[in-house]
Amino acid sequence: MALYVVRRLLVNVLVFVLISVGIFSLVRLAPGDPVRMMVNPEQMQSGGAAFIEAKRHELGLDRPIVVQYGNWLADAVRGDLGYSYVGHRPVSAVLGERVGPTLQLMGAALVVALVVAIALGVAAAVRRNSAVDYGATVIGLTAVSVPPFFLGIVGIYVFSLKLGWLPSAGMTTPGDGGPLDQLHHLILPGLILAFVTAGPFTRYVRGGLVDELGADYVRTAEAKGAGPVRVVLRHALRNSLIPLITVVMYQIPQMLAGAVVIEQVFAWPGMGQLAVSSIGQHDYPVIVGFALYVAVLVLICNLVADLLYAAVDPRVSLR
Amino acid sequence: MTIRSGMRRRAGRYSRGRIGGRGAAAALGAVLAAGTLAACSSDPTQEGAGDAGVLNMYLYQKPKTFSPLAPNNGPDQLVMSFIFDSLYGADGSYELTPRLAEAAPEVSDDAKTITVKLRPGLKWSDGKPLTAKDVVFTYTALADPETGSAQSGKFAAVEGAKELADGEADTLEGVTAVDDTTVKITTSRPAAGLPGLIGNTPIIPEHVLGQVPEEGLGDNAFFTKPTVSSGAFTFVQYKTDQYVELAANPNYREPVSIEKVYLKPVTSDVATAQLGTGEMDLVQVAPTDLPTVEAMDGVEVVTAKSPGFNRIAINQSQDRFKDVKVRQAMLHAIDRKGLVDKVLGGAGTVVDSSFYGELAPAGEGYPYDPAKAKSLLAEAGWDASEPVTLSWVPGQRDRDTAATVIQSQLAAAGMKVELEQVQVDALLSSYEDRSFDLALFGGGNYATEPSTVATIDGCDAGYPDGGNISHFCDEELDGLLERADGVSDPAERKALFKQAAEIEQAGVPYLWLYNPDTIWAYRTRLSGFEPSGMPTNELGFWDFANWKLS
Repeated sequence: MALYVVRRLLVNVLVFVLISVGIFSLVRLAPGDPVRMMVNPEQMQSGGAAFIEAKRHELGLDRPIVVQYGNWLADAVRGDLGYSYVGHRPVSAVLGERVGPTLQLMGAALVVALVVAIALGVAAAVRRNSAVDYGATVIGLTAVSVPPFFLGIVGIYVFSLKLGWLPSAGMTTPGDGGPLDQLHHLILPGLILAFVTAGPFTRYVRGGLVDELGADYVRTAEAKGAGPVRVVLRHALRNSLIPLITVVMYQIPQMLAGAVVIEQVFAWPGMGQLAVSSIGQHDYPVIVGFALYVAVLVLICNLVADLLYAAVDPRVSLR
Repeated sequence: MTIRSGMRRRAGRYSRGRIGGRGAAAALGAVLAAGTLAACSSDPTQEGAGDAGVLNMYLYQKPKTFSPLAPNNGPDQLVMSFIFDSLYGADGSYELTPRLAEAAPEVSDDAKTITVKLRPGLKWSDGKPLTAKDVVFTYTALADPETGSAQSGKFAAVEGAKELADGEADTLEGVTAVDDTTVKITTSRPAAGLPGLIGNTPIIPEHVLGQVPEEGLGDNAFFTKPTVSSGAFTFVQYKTDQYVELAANPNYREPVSIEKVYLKPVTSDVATAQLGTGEMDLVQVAPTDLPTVEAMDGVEVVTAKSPGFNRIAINQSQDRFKDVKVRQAMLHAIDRKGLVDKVLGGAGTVVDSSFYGELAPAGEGYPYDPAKAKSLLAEAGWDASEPVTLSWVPGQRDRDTAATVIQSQLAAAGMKVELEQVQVDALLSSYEDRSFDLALFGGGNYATEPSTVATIDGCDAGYPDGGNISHFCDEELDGLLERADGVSDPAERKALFKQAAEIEQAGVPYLWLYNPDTIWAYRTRLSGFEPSGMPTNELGFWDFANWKLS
């Protein structure tokens, strides 16, 4: 097990370096010039060209891309991801302050999504082909097929504008920012992200439980006189949740994509908003930093999924 | 799926997984709880929206930095207009108004010496005196490209600016503090327009930044959190992407009754919605949102004429656009009055030159006349088979609509136009390599200092050395603008600018479309707010002392 983890970590480091090369080259080779975007042509006085040239030199953008990558890697190994072109602050600090809001949004959404998905999935599996099952299917399909931004806009219209129950944007009321105020702001974006995420989970729970309920050991348990609640919750459900753990871990990076959209719609100050605005401004160091953050997240989630799977299901061994 | 390569199922054992399962669930729960808790840090201040004394205002984009040395960026400037003060501002008729200065600048007869008197007893927000030395420090930093200043071009006329820029001098010879309240500026050529060009730059504190090395001064941490300032408000914090928090400056030269301001960068849709819910007090709205905000209860809408514009640059490095008749034909072909009426709902003005107000050319200009457009194109020998591309950055509703209208109207006059939506930097690089045909864009203000028109029309100001995107060139216009800068008498200057405006109008460097009015909507609990026709990012036009909240 320990050997397995070490080996996987080493492979991940290699994958990580390859990803960094890929991201770095893609970002640099994509059309666009961050320096040119810094100056409004209307505001160009004499000396505009000189400013652009000087800035390009200052940022090292006039050097060959291999040299740029080398410099970047040397710094990155020491934990220095460079400075944001736009904010003039270290990338790690810029990213660092965005992790919290995104984790809050995703964490809350994940918990709600799991609770809802398990409840709905169990109900659907136990009462197969009933109104409950069909209802769960419709809800699940809606969650998968309606784009999150649309749900966001509808949510703002109904709950903020028409009913006035929930705030329309931001993570806090300016000047307040207490836990209750944050929670109030979290409800709408959190529930929408939870809804979108719960869709696929429900299908997994239902499918897994249906399979397990048909298994031999369930019949054995029933024959031994276990009641239906005990059979479903103690025996079948526990086993059916094993694949869900893997699915959840794989779903986390996907959730981040959903969070990017939700953050845009609700002006939620997380990683997603940062990524979108950095791409718009060609803020190379931040884009690379963000992409690597996502890469690390995917690698960790995959590793954790494997380890959890082994921990939960003793039939699995790791080599 | 390499992820699973190390995994193998062992058959036959499945009953003893309980402890591992619980551990996993606990770990997952702990991760989630940690994430949620980590994000739940609370803010010490406990004032909510809607408080008397707390103003929530819309910021149309996220600010980047609050540095006067950085390239001008609208939202940055807007925040700076609250926290920094400048020597001069401008009023509704674009005349220079003294702010930190006591009176209008004294310009010598040869227009080579400018003397500015500061108001007595000025203070920084930390209580330290604000003196002429701060002005000298600021202007030296702005003129020195080594600080990262993007503004050094504005100081070209100042004596010693070249030596400073070339690294041959450490100080800006032409800017000196005669005493605590007197700044003397000498120039190497007549430059009567200099106060209008540099006067609205925020003054920065020497006692805070004086010891910082010049190199990279503009990127100093001070400019992400300007702790000492001279404006009506002080900077409290910028909660990234959420809001900029400002508090009344007790040392401001006039009492300010609004205690706190939150500037909130959200999308215009959200801003409009929040105006309705009361989460926002003051919003600048697009003409297309006018009907929505007008229907809101407890919301007042005010408009003002503005020198901000939408126009089309014509790439005159291409031979086919060099004939002025072609450019004039295009102006006649476009129904600009119709655009204002239909696209802006009437909230705008058709203009015919870069000069505004009294200086604008009199008369009809270029009325909508498709027949005349056709005949002008014929006279110029226009090749109708060769298409023209109109490029613009999409996203602003009035511009998006205008582009399609213009396409069909130019087509009616015999010009084949293809529309091309591009990204900002693609548009900018097409300026630089001169590969665009027509480019629709907006912005600008040449109202407070008309001589700045030279930066967009001048023969030697071709992009990217200057802002002349069209690569238009008329030496007579250049000469007039230069002469105007050498005259200290305001009436005489005005006469020269009027002449320049007529030459510019005849030469059509750009296709001027319209100046949209500035539209403001605010909750009625705010009083004393005067809409200003100045672009929102212009420093020195707000009258904060009059703003009151109930």
